[in-house]
Amino acid sequence: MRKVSRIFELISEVPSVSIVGLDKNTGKTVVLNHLIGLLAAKSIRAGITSVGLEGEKIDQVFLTEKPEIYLRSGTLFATSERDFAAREFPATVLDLREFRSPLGRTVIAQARADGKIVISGPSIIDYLLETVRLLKDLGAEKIIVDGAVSRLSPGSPFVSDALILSTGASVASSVDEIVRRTVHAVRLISLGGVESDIAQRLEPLTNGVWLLQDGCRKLAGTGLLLQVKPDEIRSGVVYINGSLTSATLRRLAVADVTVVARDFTKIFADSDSLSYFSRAGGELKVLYPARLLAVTVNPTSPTGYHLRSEAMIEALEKELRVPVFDVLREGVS
Amino acid sequence: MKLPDCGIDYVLSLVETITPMGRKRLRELDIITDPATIEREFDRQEDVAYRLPISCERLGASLSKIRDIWGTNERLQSGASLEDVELFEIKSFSIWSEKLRALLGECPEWMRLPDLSDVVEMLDPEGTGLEGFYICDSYDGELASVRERVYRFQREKTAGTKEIEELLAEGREIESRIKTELSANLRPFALRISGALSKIGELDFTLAKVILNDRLSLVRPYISESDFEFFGLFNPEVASSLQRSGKDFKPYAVRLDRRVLVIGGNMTGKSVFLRSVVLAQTMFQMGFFVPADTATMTVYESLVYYSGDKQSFESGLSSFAGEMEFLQEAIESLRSGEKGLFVFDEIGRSTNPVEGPAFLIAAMEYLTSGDRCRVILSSHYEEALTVEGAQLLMVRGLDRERISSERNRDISYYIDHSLVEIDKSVQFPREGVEIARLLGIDGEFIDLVERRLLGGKDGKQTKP
Repeated sequence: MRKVSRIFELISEVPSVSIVGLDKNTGKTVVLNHLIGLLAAKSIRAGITSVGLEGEKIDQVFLTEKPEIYLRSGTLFATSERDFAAREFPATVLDLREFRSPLGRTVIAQARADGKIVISGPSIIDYLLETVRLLKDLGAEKIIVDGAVSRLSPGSPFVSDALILSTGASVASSVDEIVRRTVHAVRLISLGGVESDIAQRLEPLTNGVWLLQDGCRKLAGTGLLLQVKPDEIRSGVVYINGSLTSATLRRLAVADVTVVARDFTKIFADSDSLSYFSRAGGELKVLYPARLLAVTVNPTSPTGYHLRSEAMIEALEKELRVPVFDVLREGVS
Repeated sequence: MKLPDCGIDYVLSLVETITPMGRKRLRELDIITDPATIEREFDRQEDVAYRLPISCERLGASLSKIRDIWGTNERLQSGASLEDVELFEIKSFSIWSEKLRALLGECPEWMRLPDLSDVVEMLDPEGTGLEGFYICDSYDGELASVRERVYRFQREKTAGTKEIEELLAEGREIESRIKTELSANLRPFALRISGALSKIGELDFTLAKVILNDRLSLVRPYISESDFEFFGLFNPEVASSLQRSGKDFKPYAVRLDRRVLVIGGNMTGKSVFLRSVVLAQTMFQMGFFVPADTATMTVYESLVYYSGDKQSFESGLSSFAGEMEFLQEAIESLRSGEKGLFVFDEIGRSTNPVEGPAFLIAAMEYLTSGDRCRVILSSHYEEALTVEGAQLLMVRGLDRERISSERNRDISYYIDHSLVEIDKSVQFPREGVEIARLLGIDGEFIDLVERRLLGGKDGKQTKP
């Protein structure tokens, strides 16, 4: 296994990275602040936006305060009008977009001193993409997207080139369970892409379930309505342009079938179904593969208990082929 | 005046404005009843088309940079202290408005933008020319010194977090004071800014019309006190749908009197003709050029158009009640002394064939009783020929030569949609059976219809 000692080396390879949390309080913000600091130290201009439950300054469940992001002078960022007004530091307003949210329009700005701010960028995917484009146009050399709490969707390969997954004590109360859930998520994120000739045939297909053999035909409007005869799909490619659930995946558990999801954020199948499907001899792929850079671990949970991070990291490293960092330790900070 | 159901929505949907101010102008569009205002609208389109020092593309590109800051300007006017984001909006608007003003140079008066250079200077005291807004150090000496300390402490890490936080807070307080001062200094310019906003909206909207003129081949109509004449009149919506099925729209050449009766068989296009006239009239009175090669038109104070059953369905009335409602509207307009254009498609058709023609004849007589209104009615009642003093127009209809020489073509091939002026001696067209046959209606059934017409063996004879 390739051991990378510093997270910075990992992100230096990609123009944009999303940080997504497997659950709340997995230390995403710590990772984000750390990366911002590292980039500033190397004089690389960062562009920051986020996707989130809007206006969530206080964690809705545990009422612990959502940590503000600490920006550095020169950092470009996108946030809502209201959070922009509440910032701590002077900044230049560079652009203003009508991506309306309960917190007002989206402001694109540049920090003129170091300081704290709540970042609340647009959540709708098209607006997010437009925001990322704007940040790049304004000179951001590295884009970091702060993912939504317990939502993996900003990790979509459409948004950024790579992602960092944050996990930790808040995901479950035992090391085993945290490891099990994290490994499952990583397995989905790391699913391989289909061959380029197949990808070319799948790309133009609209929503629904499609069977690709010699020709191409639609099997159903959604996975939920899918009825299949095993012989029909054996050694074929079934493309699900929509959500792929556990039930659908089980129905498609046939030897030599290749099931293709659009990207990992569209897969809602649990780990048992995934195993059931693999045992039957099926292979799961995605049309748009994602690139996972690292997993970060937060050993403290908001309810106050603390797990031994060494044990968790060790267990995860044994299962995963990507570097694992403790957010509170040297590996990251 | 309410908009007639003539397909104007289709035309309006093709108007592509660039700025929110232009869109607002489009949304607020209304019927104009003053000829001078219509001429002014037309002149402006010609100004943009022929008297701009820059190309339409360049103008469009420049307009696309301009934000709608109406709400922020209202706040400025009301005495509010503006936030950074709002000051950015005012700055951005003023910069692009100034650039556009420079581009337009010696342009016609109506598009000349107010001078906002003082606003730009206030919001860009260091003269960077950049759109971004920052409360820069030069606004206040104290601010510069606070920021200098923050910068030094943050770089050299020579002060505690608390001390830096206090300095940042001090900086924010000074910024807030500057914003209040700036807002007060900008306030006198709020009127100029709103003037610029509406001029830009007008310019944008006019540019959109000019682009539409080109796209749909529209022409500037001559305005006349009473003449009404078209060459090459067409209907853009019908033409575009015909084009999709590989057919051409046959334009109309027609001069219309004050009493016009359009007759013709089913499916010959009487309705399309009426609709095209009403659409042209509506566009004309909204300040648009019209779909024709040349047009001479009269401005009316009221426009009543009854297009048929669909309108009645939509308002939940029976066909007859719907028709009567429109008729009453025309009558009231006439009574109130308005100069009206009244267009009814097949008036009286929804009642029985004995009373129907009476409605038709009476409507023509009554609605033209003043000498200022124009009435255009269509009908396929033969009694239409008895209307006194009306100009009779007939759609040519079935081309019997084509029917006998060629078979199995689309029905439109056999119908000649052109209009001819006729006199009362003409044989009233009876083409229902023939057209039904061309539409592919069951032969046995058509035979029965023909036998009924002739009073044949199987039909119950009505006349000896």
